[in-house]
Amino acid sequence: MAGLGTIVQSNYSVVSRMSGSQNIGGQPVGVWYFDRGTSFQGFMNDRQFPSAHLEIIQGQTSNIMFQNMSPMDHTIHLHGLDVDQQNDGVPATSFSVPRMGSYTYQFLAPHAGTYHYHCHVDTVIHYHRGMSGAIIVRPPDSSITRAWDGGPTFDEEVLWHLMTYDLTWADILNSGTGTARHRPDVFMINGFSSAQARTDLYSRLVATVGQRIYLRILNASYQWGRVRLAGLPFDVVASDGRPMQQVVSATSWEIGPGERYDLLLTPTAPISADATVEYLDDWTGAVLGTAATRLEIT
Amino acid sequence: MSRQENQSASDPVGVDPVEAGRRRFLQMAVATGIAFQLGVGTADAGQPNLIKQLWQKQPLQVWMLEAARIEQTFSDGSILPYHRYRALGSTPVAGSVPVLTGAPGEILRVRMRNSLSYTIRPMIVGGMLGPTIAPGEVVTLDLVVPTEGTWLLTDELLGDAAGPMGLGAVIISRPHKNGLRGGRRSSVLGYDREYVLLYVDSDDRWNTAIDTGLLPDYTTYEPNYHTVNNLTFPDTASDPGTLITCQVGERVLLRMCNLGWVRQSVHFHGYHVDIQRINNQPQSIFGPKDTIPLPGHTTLEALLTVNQPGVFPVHPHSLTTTTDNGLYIGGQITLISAT
Ligand SMILES: [Cu+2]
Ligand SMILES: [Cu+2]
Repeated sequence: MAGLGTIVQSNYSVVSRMSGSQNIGGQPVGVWYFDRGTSFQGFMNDRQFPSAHLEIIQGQTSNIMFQNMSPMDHTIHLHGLDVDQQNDGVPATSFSVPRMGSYTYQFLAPHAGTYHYHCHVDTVIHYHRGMSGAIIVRPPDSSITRAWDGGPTFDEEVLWHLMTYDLTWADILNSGTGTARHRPDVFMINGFSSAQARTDLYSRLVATVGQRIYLRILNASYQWGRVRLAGLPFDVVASDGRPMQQVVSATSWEIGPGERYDLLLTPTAPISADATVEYLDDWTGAVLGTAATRLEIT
Repeated sequence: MSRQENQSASDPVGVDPVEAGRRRFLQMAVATGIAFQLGVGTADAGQPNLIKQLWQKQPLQVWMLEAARIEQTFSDGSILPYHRYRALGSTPVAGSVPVLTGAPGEILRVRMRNSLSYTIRPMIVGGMLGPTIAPGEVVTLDLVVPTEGTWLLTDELLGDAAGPMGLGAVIISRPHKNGLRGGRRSSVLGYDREYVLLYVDSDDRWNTAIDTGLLPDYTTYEPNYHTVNNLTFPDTASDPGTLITCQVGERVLLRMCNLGWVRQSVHFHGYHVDIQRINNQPQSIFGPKDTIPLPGHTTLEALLTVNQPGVFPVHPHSLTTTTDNGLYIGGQITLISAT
């Protein structure tokens, strides 16, 4: 299940770190990230960019015990979870967690689906440096093969955390004229460009004919992303943690910054091809760059 | 693929970008049919024939606008020139954006003065194309208000630059007394309160060029100033037109309008909202969403059901929009304040 469903629980320890490093666009880049407390690893416990994902349970009180082990203020904004003002993680309306400080964010986990969390301090730069992760809310029975109570079931499940990177922003510590315009050079799925993403266990879509693949997509970039699964039709079943009012069948789907979509793919024949995300210029709509991984159906 | 290659691919050599921008606008004006019937007169002319019979038995709203040069100072200290519609007299505003309201079937009269140095031509996106207005001229537009909805008033001759220059206003059609709850049968959008949020993105290089009578570089548009109702955060947090003030249990209609061409994706903290209509067409695809697509030149009506108290931000998630020329916090952040 591509790294998903192994830990489903209501309480997490989350630590912010500003000491990470990852190869982005062929060069080592200093990254800031959230991990689950002990590993010094972010996404899927094997890379520091983007941050670790969390899986919680609908209807249960969740506790995110946040420790800021870094030299700057940070917060956790629980994007889409509709938490109360105190736990919203916005310094202007609640508070920030000072360096070496801690706070336990507490909230009732909402409807099962795909969500997001990220730092909301000097957001334009902290978010870009990697302080963003996905949250999956599992149904009340903690099922890892059903999307929500009464929702679709699936055999394989994959998470795509979409990001782009402007290398001129790599060493920026604070927002300012340097962060006025985002001109991405690197186009990624789960923190990897195509060369790495094509072999990445956590990004590839692998199944046998007739199996149902549930693909959760979070767009954490500053551009729209157009998703294609090698031209195969898929169903768009949920967005922002709620079922679609109408399930839409499509061969490509465009996802705005901060949006999440859940796609259901049921391949009817073997195929070995690229599955892609084209990142679009938000003014012209032109493709700025593409991130690809593999769709392998046997 | 480099950015430059892609841009030249979508802007083939030989196409005049000014003309291309204008054509895009003309298509917008007629794309969804002409929603507004139009009668045109000048300030000195008599009543336009089209409305002679109508206006004697229908209430006549007169709103006054002036297309004018306005300078705005931002948190980073920079001053940007805008060419905006200024609301005169009792014309209502959200922030400083004129909001022209009328009821279906009514005559909505707009008296527009052009105080800019060039000829303008008002248009309603998906609504109508008006007459040209020379510098110094005053023209009266009489519009027969269509069924309920939200429209953008902008300028056809400025084309792609009308958004960045801020030359825009919002037109609302709603039943006179029955738009609010208590008369839901008369309104397709039952609600307790309503707010208008007009998103404008600007590239300072464009605004400066146009303000000095030059053409901007139409091949590159990278906005670095971002306003809602002509304001930036934290001014949006104290303006009564932009601070969404409501009570738990209420339904708040948000008329989200994007005057620019940049495709926005607007995130709500604290709430999911229901997208009712996009460009006045009902939508039945999306369920409740916390992040909503708002393409360029689009109006979107969303219903916020206030189910918890608190103060929560609303902002586009391409996060450079939450800055003033890169400096966080500013730009297109607004607040919901629910008690
Ligand atoms: Cu941070
Ligand atoms: Cu967010």
